Amino acid sequence: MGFFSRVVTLFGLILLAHAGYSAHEHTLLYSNARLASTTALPLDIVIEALVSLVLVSAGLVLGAEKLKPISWSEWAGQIEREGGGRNPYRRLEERYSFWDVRAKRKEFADWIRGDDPVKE
Amino acid sequence: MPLTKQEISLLINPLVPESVQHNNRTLSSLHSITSFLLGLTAGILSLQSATGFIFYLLGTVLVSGLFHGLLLYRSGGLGAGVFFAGSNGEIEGIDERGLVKGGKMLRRAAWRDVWFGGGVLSEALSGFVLGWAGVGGVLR
Repeated sequence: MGFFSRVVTLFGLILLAHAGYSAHEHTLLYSNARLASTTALPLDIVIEALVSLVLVSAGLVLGAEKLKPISWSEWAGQIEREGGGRNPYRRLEERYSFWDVRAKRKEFADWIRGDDPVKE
Repeated sequence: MPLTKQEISLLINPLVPESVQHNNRTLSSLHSITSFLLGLTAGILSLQSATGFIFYLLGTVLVSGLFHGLLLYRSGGLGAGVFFAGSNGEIEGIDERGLVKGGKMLRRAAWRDVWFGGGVLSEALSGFVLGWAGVGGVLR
């Protein structure tokens, strides 16, 4: 939706600029015309301005940042589905469990004995 | 003292403040940009006094309507209650014992945030007047 909305917004802005320039020209041409019955804007400029406004607003609304769900449950569910990378409680959830000190000590001792260069 | 409905709602289904802020910021930036564009258009059309403000009103209704449509589409038809807190996060259809009618956890009066929130009557209005007066002054 990003590219589409940008194109729509850009097109609308060009139309708006064109309508503005046309209105300017119209004012220049008719400001001294005493014979002109009316100095109101021609209908096509009005329509162009309104259409461009609708286009630009539609483009901006479509290109608005994605909203986030505000309910905690949905937000947390979304994070879980993404794999939990953004989880603010990850430090608490992924902790080491109890460490078997004796087993580790034995492992270390075995490794030390196995690699003893003096003994060989 | 028994809990109010709003307090029960927040206990049952808490809000994520970060997401609420993000959504409100998105809405208000959208409104400020579009209201400036509305001002430019009003200047081009050389509207004056009350007509201009009626134009602003209609324009913001258009923008809010589009935004609400997008919300309905993104939330699968559930609407603004999924993304905006409404009246301090109270859940729609909750009773004093915390039972929710319908089973959908939507926030009450969240549409108000979409249609009247985002600085429509304060910051965005000043942007509108700026654009209106500026373009009107240059063109006329």
